[in-house]
Amino acid sequence: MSLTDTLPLRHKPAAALVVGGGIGGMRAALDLADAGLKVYLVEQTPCLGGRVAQLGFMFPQHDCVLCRGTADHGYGCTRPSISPAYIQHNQHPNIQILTNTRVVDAAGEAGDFTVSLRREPRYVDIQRCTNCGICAEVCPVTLPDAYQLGMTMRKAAYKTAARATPDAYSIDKGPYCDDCVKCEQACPTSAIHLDEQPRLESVEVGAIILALGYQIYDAAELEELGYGRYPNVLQALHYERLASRSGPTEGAVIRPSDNRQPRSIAWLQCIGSRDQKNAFCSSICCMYATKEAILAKQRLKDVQCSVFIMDERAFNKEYSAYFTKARDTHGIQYNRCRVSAVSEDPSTHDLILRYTEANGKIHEERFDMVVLATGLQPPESAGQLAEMLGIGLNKHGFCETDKFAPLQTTRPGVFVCGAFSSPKEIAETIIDASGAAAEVMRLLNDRLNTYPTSREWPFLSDTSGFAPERDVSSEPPRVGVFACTCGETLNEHLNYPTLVQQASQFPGVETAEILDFACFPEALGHIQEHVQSDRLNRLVIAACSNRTHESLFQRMMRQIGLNPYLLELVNLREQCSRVHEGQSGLANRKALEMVRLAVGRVQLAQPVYKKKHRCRPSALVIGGGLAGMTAGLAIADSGYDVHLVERSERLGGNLLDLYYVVEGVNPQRLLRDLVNRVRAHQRIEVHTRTEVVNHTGHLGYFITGLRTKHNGTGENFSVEHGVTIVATGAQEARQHPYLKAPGVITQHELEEKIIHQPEEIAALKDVVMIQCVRPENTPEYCSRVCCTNALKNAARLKLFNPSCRVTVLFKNIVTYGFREEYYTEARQLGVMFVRYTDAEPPQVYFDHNYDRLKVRVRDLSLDRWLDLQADLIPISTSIIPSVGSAELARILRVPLSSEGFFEEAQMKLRPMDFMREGIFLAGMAHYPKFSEEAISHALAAAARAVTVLSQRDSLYLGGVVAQVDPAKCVGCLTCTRTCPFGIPQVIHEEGRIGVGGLGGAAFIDSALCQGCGTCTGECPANAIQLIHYTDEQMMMRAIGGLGTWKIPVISEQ
Amino acid sequence: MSEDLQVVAFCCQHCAYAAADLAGGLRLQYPPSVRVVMLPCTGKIDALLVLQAFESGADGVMVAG
Repeated sequence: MSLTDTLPLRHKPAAALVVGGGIGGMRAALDLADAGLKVYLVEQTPCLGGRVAQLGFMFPQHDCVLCRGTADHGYGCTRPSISPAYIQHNQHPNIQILTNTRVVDAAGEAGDFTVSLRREPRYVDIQRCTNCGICAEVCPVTLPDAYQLGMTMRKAAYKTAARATPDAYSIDKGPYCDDCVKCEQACPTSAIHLDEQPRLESVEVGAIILALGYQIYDAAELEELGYGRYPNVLQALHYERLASRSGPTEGAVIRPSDNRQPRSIAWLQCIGSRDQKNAFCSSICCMYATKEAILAKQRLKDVQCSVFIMDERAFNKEYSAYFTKARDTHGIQYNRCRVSAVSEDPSTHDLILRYTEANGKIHEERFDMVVLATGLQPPESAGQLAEMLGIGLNKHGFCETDKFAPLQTTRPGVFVCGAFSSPKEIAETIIDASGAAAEVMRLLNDRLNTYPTSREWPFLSDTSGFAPERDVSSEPPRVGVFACTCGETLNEHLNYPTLVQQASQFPGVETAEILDFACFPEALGHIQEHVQSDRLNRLVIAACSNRTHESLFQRMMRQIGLNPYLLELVNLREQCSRVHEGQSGLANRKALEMVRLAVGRVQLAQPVYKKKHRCRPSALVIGGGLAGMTAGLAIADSGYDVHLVERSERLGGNLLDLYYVVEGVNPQRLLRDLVNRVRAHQRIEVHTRTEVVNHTGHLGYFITGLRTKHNGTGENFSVEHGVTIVATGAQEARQHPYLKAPGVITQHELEEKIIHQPEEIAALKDVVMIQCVRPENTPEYCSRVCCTNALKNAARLKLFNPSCRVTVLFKNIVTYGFREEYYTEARQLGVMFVRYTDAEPPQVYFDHNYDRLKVRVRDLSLDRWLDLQADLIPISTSIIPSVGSAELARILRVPLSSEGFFEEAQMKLRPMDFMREGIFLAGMAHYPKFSEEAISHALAAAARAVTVLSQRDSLYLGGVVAQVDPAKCVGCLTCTRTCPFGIPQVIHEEGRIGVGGLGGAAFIDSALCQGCGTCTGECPANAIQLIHYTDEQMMMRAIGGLGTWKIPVISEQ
Repeated sequence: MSEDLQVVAFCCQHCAYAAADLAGGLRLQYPPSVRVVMLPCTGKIDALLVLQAFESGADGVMVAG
């Protein structure tokens, strides 16, 4: 008997804890839950959403964040976001949301933690709260609303935002609450329990992800800027709330001092960033200030916008173009200086800024409003949490991580994502979050899929144990109508007895009844009994929104044994009763008409099924560089096979030529480690000298043709796999006229020289580096890594020869995040920095008089031309997509961005997904990146891949999809052009004959179709129908569906 | 007269329909002549659908998404 047999057997927890319910925490939780792990999502406030829930718009696309970032959005939307899985009744069965909760202790080790949680009372049972708002109406206590940054008031009984998850009120029983118990008495569903007590709970988890986010720098610390003293000095989030449609002014920006629309606004950058005390760059402020300024220009007539900025840090896809648009199209003025003080004209509350212009002249200017672009600080709870968990913080107070393990904290089994590890924006937080989930999947690989879920039905759930579905195809429609009063709150405006009485007369209706709470278990049981006793086969539930409750009732349908699509929900609450108060007659007519249409439509409803597919349990990773190897290893470590395809002879990609990094760690060690692990891994098959030839199939089942080259001949073969990861990287542009001159080399070549010819480097006396050298006919964008690379090389030059004069000619120094300190360090080492502009770029020339290479540049601060001698001119050229990216994009049928990089499904919220399902994106193929960013991105892609692979035999695809009637197809290709996903194809095969014996007809693969219905709307031959939304179901001509009122106005009682 | 007006609003379920829900949550008032029809995406809109609504007597059609 072995020792382990004598120990009591204890299951290791197949669960993870995610701390922080912002977008990072939500994203991580979803990926873990999809991989079959249980997730406890802990949030200290009453609702999820975090900081993003307060933002009205995201740069650079200005999308509304409310619908996209917080809770909802379905599959199949052309713009899907995080997931629909946080809608209360649609909640992912593997996610348990614990709001008003803090972590108080974490004992144990990686793979096996016991975490103690303190759960503060909410005083409201979220299962019973119907959002009627009566508690807030009766509550006598009024407080400043923190969500609106104190610009409006709220009650002590309140809901954080109109749309919150969980969708319920909570009671703030602070010292101001005098226990009047009015809310408890008034609540129609008895959901309020004011005697609820805080309680301690413990959960067993295998891993912890910290997604704590950040706090905003307190601008009051900088007294000279007048924040808190001058009413018209705002911090950026104030402005964000003012500009938001859900803000205190519904999107109208007004001056707090006189509620007047400002005519001039100044943004001051780097507030609490890039200074002595906060020696890092907050990374996001340049972009958000530009966004706010563009919004101001778009909304406020004749407003003048000025941004006082040191460097434009626009270092992501499309960000440079956004800046250019701000300046050139919107006329936003950028002033390159730091404003040291703000004063106020006390009579008008106008603000006076004194600043130094580029040429050194002092200038004074008056503004109606000043917005402080406040930076990011470590989250408030960081110190305490770090101590309790035993994790290290860096010198800035953010979570300590390793360059090559960017998502791991110093305690094994505890991972980090988002702004807690360094200041970062939404897209990078999402990447980190999925990446951290991949780390957890790897750690808990023996427990993946312990809690399998499927997407067989629109609600995510485990449907095993449901009754078999009743075949109703031969039955005539027998409709049951159930009208819910939402706890007697809707019948205030609607006459329910008349409603059900008339509804019962509609053809096909067997029974019509009033319910008080259709969504409560008792009512669900009651409906179920009716279905059985009256042999109902279709239901109309007149209650509330499809978006919040359809999944609940669909689940009930399925439990009863009816197809979930034989149901119609009538939105009486949100779209009738609550919006037509005081118009009872018309509202009643509308309600009845809505029910009439629903009864008509439900009779046309047919069962809808998704098709079950078997997922091939392997991944194809294209590209054997840092991202490809990292992604491949993460997938293989999680228990799935990987085909790693590399075009060249060796694994490593750009990492092969990366000798040192600014942070000091050795990338060559990382390379050796990765290559050894990849080569030795049982689950990874490496195909070098191999390229992708073709790629067909769909999520869960792709077939890819590959070609391996051997001494001039090639061997073709194909592999089957469930997912594809594109990690083809990028490269330094090596073509520029400058490079023809002797003495001009790329930064990369300089790095080679530093390593291989150090003696040559030590002899250099004058080195002039030129940044942002763009090859002709290439788009302009920030290549993100070059500034830091130039600084790293400049520091080496200074190290070898402190007397070497190193001058860096730059447009903007983009050392975001903690990289700022290397900029400071370089200046301390004596590296000189000279800014140039696009209007007057530096000129490299050969001075024959002195037989020397020189660079001519205009120094803006001295306002004169400089002629700099140079022994060597290293230039930073653009990082461009790998050769062949366009061809690969064509084979995979995925798009490229305007810069030529692969284009993700959605820039902010799906940065590692492609619009085509089952294909993911990692590393520099997306955009230039530092190694730590490429690693996070690769892990993120791996996590997304594992969520698919772990569905094994229960991958459900199809459902509400478009269907072609080949006999009607004229082969006009309209569908192929209009489909936003590029799915329809006109193909010629047996049985697929178009109009007039046309050879071939459109084919839409139900496993690929996203169900948006665009093709059905565009098809001129009307040959395509969207299941569940057929023309007949949309118009219901037979019963006079839309257009005029078929029901007379119901007289007021 | 005005009580017989009917405006058919075709709304994308992901945004405009959600906005209509939000209006309900905030109790923003609008005329009962507006009738919301949920679509999976406004791409689903067919010119025929709009014309048919008019043909059946609608006084206005709104497509929001």
